[in-house]
Amino acid sequence: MRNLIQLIWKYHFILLFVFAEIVCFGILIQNNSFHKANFLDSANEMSGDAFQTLNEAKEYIELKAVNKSLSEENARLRSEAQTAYFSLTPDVRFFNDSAHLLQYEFLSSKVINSTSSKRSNYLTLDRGERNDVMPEMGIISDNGVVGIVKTTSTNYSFAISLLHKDTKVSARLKSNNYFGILTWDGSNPKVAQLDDIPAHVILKVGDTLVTRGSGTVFPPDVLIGTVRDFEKIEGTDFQAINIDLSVDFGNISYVYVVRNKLKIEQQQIETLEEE
Amino acid sequence: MGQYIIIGIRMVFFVLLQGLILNNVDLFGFVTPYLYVLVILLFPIEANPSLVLGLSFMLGMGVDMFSHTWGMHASASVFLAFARPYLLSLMAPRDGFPSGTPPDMSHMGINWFLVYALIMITCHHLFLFFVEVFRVSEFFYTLGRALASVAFTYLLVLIAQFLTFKQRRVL
Repeated sequence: MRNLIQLIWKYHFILLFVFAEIVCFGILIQNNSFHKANFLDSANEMSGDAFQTLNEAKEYIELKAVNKSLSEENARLRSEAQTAYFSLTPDVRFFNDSAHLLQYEFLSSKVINSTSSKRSNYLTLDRGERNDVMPEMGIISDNGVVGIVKTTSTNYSFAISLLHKDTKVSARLKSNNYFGILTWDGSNPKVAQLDDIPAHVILKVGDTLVTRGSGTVFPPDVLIGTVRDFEKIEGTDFQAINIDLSVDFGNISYVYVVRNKLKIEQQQIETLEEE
Repeated sequence: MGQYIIIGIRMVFFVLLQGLILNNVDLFGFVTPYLYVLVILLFPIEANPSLVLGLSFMLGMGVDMFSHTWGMHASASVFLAFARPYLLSLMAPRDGFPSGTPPDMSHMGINWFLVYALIMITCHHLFLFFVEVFRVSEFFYTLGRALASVAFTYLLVLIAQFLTFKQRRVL
């Protein structure tokens, strides 16, 4: 026993090091899994407040660009609104009636912190449980798909960006309706990769890629980007496709959180079928 | 005692500097400096290694809090605190370190500090970047990113040291 204590004392520095590393990696792995509740959420709230203060200062600098982007979006929405159309069938009203169910709600939100240079990138938004933001809701901006909510606190939510090693988005090529999985290889924050497109599919540079809307996260037909280049992968029946992302993750500031009102219903019926 | 109050203030300052400002610096789109390692570099030479290890863990966790990478910076900081006593004993002058001094540029001389900082920062960044990626398949790409950040951090560490540099008689 005495020897054991002596031995431990002799190597206590190394043992302390090993113990500290085990704690670190334990926390790291626990927080990497997507569904785990974040037990450090209260601290998340703390740094959230700090980011918000900093962000208020930064907003003044970005005001001009944001205004421009917002007014562009306004113009686009205006041209899509009902009042912009001349009604050919005055008896038919399309929205706000019992024949159409509102499926997607959009909650505007501000990005108060984000990265785009790491291998796995994250965003912090200034909306949380108070506004019914839940994990696994999609995030889009006026330019396209941005990311997916990971954890939420009362006033903030924390999301993984499209630029993350674990993000996978089901995407559809608008020109020919083939769909594949969008991932990011970590090399260039402006370029992502599209997998699972068969070799016989004919592509053109500049083809538009949109969300497929098959999962419950994103609505269908949200812009992702355009085809940058493509080549057949030797020895397989698939192509390696690079996608120019439409969102510039370096200056992202205003986004929308997507709430799918039929999500639970779709998930229920899909799990029912599997059982 | 007073020494440790200064170290505490320094830790808080560098965590805030790192979390609120330097984390947003992306030179060429992917090079970020991690200046907070300077705190670990400058712990007093005679400080209890276990205490340095514990303080480094707290420092890393503080940085992690701002970048949502729980445990990542902490593990790299702990690793650096572990490696530090061995490096210091390797780099000790012939008649030992002068007592009661931090290993900074003013006390140890420019040449000594250049070597010390480069080795320490490289150890820290390599560990950090490989923990971040957590896979070997992108080895050379990760290595490149780590070394680019080493250069950036090294530059900032040297600037910070020259700002507080006082010429002394080098022993």
